Amino acid sequence: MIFTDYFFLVLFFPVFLITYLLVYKTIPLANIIIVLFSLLFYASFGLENLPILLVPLVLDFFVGLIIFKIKRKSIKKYVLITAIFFNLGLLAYYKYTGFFINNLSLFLFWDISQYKIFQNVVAPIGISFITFQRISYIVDIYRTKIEPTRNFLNYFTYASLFPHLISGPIVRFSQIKDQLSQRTLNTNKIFDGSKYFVFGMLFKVLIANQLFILEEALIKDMMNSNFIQSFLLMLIFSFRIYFDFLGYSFIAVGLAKYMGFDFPINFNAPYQATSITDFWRRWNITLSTWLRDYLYVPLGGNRKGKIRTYINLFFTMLLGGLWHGASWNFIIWGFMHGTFLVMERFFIDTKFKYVFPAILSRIYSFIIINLLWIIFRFPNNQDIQILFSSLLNFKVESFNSEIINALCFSAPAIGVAIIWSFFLNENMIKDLKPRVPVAVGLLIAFLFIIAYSLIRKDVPFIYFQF
Amino acid sequence: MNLKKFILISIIPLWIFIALIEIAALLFLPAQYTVRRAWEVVTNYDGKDGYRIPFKPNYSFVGVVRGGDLLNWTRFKYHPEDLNKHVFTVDEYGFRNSIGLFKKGVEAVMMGNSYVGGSQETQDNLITEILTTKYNIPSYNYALKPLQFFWEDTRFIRSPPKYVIVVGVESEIIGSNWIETVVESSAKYDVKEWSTYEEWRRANEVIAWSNFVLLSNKLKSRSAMRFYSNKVYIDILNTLFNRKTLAEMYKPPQVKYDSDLDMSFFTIENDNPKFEVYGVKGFISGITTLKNTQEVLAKRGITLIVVAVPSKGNLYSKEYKNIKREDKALPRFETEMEKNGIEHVKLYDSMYANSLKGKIYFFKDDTHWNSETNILIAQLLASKIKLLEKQGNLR
Repeated sequence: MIFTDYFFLVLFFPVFLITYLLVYKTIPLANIIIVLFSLLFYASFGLENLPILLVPLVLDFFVGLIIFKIKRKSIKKYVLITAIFFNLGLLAYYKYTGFFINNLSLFLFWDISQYKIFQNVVAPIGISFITFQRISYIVDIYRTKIEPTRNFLNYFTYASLFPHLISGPIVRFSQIKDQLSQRTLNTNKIFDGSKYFVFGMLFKVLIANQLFILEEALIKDMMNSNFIQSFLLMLIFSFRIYFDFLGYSFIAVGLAKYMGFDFPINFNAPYQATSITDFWRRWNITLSTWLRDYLYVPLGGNRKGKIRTYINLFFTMLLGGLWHGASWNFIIWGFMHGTFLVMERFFIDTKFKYVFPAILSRIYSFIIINLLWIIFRFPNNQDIQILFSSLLNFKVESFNSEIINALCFSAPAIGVAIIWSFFLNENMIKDLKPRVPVAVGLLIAFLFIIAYSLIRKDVPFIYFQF
Repeated sequence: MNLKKFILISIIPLWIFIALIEIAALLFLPAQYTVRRAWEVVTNYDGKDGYRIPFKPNYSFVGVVRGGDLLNWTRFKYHPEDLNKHVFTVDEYGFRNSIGLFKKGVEAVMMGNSYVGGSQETQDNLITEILTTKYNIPSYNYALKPLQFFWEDTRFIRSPPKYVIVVGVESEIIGSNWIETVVESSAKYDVKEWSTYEEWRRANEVIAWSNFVLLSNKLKSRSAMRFYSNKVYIDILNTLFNRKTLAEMYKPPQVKYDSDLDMSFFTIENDNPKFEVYGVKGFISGITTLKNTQEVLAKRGITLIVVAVPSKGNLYSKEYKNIKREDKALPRFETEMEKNGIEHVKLYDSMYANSLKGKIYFFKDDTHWNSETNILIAQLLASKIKLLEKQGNLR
C-alpha cells in the first residue's frame, strides 16, 4: 500500500484517523494505535516482511539499554560494533546478496547462485531506511547524545511510525523523543498537516506521475533518440525524481503532523544549488546528514588532513550510492558524486579565489546533477551509452506523435516543475499561514486530488525501491 | 469550535466523510451502481478454483450497465443505446447457463472466449441461449475454458454431447488457439456443483491481508468514489470535445478510432485479416489442429463444428475493407476446412456483403460482436445441425 493508493487514501488512513482521534489525548493508547496500524501498513507489502522488521527492532531496543548501562568504553564499543554489524548484515543479506553473488560468480566462473541460501532473497521494502534509522538510535546512545528510552512502547512507536517507515525521512530519536510521550494536536497542527499532505499529493500525482508518462514515451523511442529527445528525457527524469520524492516526503510530514509529530523537511530547493556540495546540503537532507554524522565523521571527516578528507568524502558518497541499490549504476553514480565533491573540495583547499556568478554556478550544478541522474536512472549500461552518445551528437529531429502527445499533456506539469525548482522553495509551504482562503483552497485541492488519484494510473514512488 | 477553526481543519472531517460513504457503498450499494460491466462482477478472478471455473457459481447479476470495453482507453462517453439492462446468470458449476440446464441434458457444448461468454450481452442474446430456446437444441456454454478442460470434465465424460461447437474470431480459429486444442488424456476433473453462491463464496473467495494486492484491487474496482470521479471526468471531457477531437488528443496506442463509422478498433493489427499473416504454414497448422480435435472428439462420438467469425477490422476498418477476397485468410480457410472434411459454418461472404450495406455486426466501442452476429451464428448452426441430423450423423 502506498500513500496514493485507493486503499490507503479511502480506507486505511481515514480508519486510522478516526481511531486515533478517539484516543489521542491518552498518549500510550494513541501510541498503541500507531504501532498496530504501522504493522498493518508494513504487512501490506507482504506478511513475510514483518519478522524482518520486528526482530532487529526489538533487539536494538535492548542493545540501546545495554550500551547505556555498560561503564567500560571498550565493552560499550564492542557491543555497538556487534549491533551495527548485525543490522548491516541483515541489510547486506537482503539487499546485496543477489548482486554480490552474481558478480562473484562472473569473477570466479562458478555459479554460486545455485545454492539455496542465495536463492529467492527478496529485500523487504524500506529496509535501507529502517536500518539507518535504527543505527542512528544506538550510535547516538553510544555517543551519549541521547538516553535510551525505557518505554518500549515509545521506542516501538518511533521505530515503526508508518509515515516514514518505508522511504524516510530518516528521523532521529532525538528529533521526536519528547513528542513520543507528550504531543499536542491543535488546529494549527492539523492545518500544517493538511498543507504538506495536499502539496505532497499534488506534486506526486499531478507532476511526478504526469512526467512519468512523458518519460515512458521518451524511453520507448530511445533507440531513435536525438539530442533534443535525450536532453528532454534527462530533464524530465530530473524533475520527476525530485517531485516524486518531494511529494512523498511532504505526504509523510503531513501525515505525521496529523498525529502530532514534526518530521524534518527533506529538501531545500536542491536544483538551486550552486555546487554539488551544496546540492547534498539540499537533497534528501536526512540521508546526507546521516551519511555525514554516521559515516564521514567516524571515518575522520576533515580532521585528518586534506588527503584523508578527500578519501573520506569519496568513500562516503560511494557507499551512499551503494545504499540506493544493489546495482553497478548506483555505485558509479555514487563514485561520480564523490569525485565531484572531492574536486570542489580541492578548489576550496587551493584557496582558488575567483567566485563564479551565482547563475553560472547553478547552471554547472544543475547540468552535472542531471547528467548523473542518467546513470542513476538506467541500470543497463547500453541505455546509458545510447543516451550519452545522443547527447553528444547534436542531431535534431522531430518527435514521434506519442511523445508530442505526452509532451502536450505534460506541459503544465513541466511549467510548474520549472517554476518551483528554480524560483521557489520548500520553506514557502512552511510560511503559509492558517488563513481561511488558504484552507478553502487546500480543501478544494484535496477533494480534486483524491478523486484524480483514483482515476489515474498508479505509479509507485521511486524511493520505495531503496 | 468557531467557523474559522472548523474551516482550518475541514480536510479531516471531509476525509472521514468520504471514507464512511465509501465503506457504506462497498457494503450496501448494489454492484450495478459502481461497475461498468456485469462481467466485472461475475468473473471468478479471485476464487481458488478460478483455474477451472470462469464465473462465480449459482450467481445472477441483473442491472443496467453499459458496454464498450474500448472506452477505458478512448475516454469516450458511452452511446446511450449501449446502456442496457443486463442479465448474467451463472449455473451451479460456474458456467454462463441457466441453472439446471446441464441436468436437463445438453446436445451441444460451445467453446470460446469472451465472445461466446457474451461479455457485453445479456443472457437471452447468447448463442447458446438462442439455440436452446429458439431452435430447441439444448446448448451448454463452456466459455471461457478450453476444450482440454471439457475433455477432462467428468460431467461430459459420463454423458457426452452430440456436438462440440468451437466459436471464435478468425484469428483465434486459424491461429490454433487454446480453445480448439485438445490432447487425448485419461485425466478427469470433477467440477463441483455448488448449491448456493454463498456456499461457494465462503469456501473460495480469497479476501485476506495475506493477499493484499488482490484485496486492494478488488475494493478499488468497486469504489463508488472512483466510479463517479471517472464518470465526472469523462462527462466533462465529452462535453468539451467531440469524439474525433478526443481521439486526436489522446491517441491511445491500444485503440484506433474511425470517425466516419464512429467505431473503435482494438490495435488493428490484432484484427489483420490478410492471408500473409498466417501463410501456408499457419494454415497447415490450423487445419491440423482442427483435424486432430475432430478425431479426438470422435472417440467419444462427438462431432466438431467450427465457427470462424470475420474480425471487426476485416469487415469495417479502412485498412482492410477493400482487400481482395483471395488475399484474405478467412474465405480461404473456410475452403480448406471444406476440403478437409471439418464441419463448419460459413460466415464470411454473407457478413461481408451485409457489412457493405451498412449492417453492424460489432459493438462500436467494443472488441466484441453484437447480438446480430449471435442471432446469425445461431441460425446457421441450427441449420447445420439439422443437416447433420438428416445426414444421419447421429451417435
